[in-house]
Amino acid sequence: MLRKLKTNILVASIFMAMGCTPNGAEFVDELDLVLTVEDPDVNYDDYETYYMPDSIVLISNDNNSKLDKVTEQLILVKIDEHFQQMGWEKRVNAETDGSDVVLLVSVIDLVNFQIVGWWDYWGWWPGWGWYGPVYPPGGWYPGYPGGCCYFGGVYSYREGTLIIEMVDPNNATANSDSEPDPLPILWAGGLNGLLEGSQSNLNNRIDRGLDQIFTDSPYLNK
Amino acid sequence: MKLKILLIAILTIVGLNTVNAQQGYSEFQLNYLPSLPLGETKDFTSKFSFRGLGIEYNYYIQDHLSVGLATGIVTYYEASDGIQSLTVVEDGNNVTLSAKQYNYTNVIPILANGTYYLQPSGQVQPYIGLGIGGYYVMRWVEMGLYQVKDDKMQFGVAPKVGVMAPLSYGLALNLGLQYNSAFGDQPFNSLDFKIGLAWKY
Repeated sequence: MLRKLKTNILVASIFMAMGCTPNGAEFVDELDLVLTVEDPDVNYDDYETYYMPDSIVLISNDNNSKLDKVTEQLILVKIDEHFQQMGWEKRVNAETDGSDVVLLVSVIDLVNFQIVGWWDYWGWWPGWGWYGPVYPPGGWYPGYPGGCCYFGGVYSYREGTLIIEMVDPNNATANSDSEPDPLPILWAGGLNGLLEGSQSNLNNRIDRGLDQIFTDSPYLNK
Repeated sequence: MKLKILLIAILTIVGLNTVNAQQGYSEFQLNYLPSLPLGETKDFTSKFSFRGLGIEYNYYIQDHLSVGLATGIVTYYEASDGIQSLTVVEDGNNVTLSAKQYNYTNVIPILANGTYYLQPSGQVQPYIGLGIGGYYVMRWVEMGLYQVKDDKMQFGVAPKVGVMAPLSYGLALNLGLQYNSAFGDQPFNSLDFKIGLAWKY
């Protein structure tokens, strides 16, 4: 009898021990992650004007996937507001005026998307005509200093990752080969987990996430 | 390090030799281990832990003295109240991560124990003891879906005090305190509150 009791207690204890690690996040917004990438070799004071295309590129392997227009505008307006509050000057016509940097805003609607070679997603943008010596035959890819394809190389993606990439199109060097050439990325901000959860709290989370991106990037202030 | 290994070896060998010579009796303990993190462990995971479980086997060389082995697991956990930021250098870039942060420390001690019983035949049997051995300490941070983990085996000691209260033939209630101190560049410290049962056979 005593032996059976001991065995039962021991088995129950093992199950208790197996289940004793707490689970962490309970709600989807508790998994939201904001990420910023600063290149310490860049003097951000050297850059003053920006241009941002008026749409967000949605990267997805689902043809039916769409980014809600209201959400898209909310994101673009918020980014604009933040950059102007920090003292950056917005250029409204890249094809005629150019700018020091271009802000590319993308949303990835996939988990574990392989981002290498994603440059094609921005190849359509007519604004490239103003910049650079020549648009290279293979296109460009985001050339993060110190390593290729930072976001894709290091992190997997939750469904709905917003990425803002600040590129320096004036310092792109194009080779004549058919391979894509690196376009200098000066800064990047990401918000992970954007499209999960209910629509009702999505705007708040985008708001909070974008605020955090720029709180974490004080060096962008003029 | 050699000295530490030597100490453990001596304790084990002396214990086993004495066991063979004295033909004593055995004891098995099952203890619930609520635990208070201390020092750097508290800095990382500050909450008092109610998630701990330990088992012990002891061999009584004499009525006053037992040697044995102990192991178990205790989990410490802390979730940040709000968003926390962490900056790391990756590929020469300063990468700042901001998210609600979940810190975990799981520790599995594997200790050789010596215990001295002050009044082995009393209704309440106070004891003092010392454990020496390894602590497998797993520390990790979760932010979003990402995890930064650091696992280490650390040498440590564990002085303990407590009382045994016999409940029936061969069965006793065990109440005790055990201070755990594992050394290294990230030391682990805690105070366990033992509440358990001991079977002697």
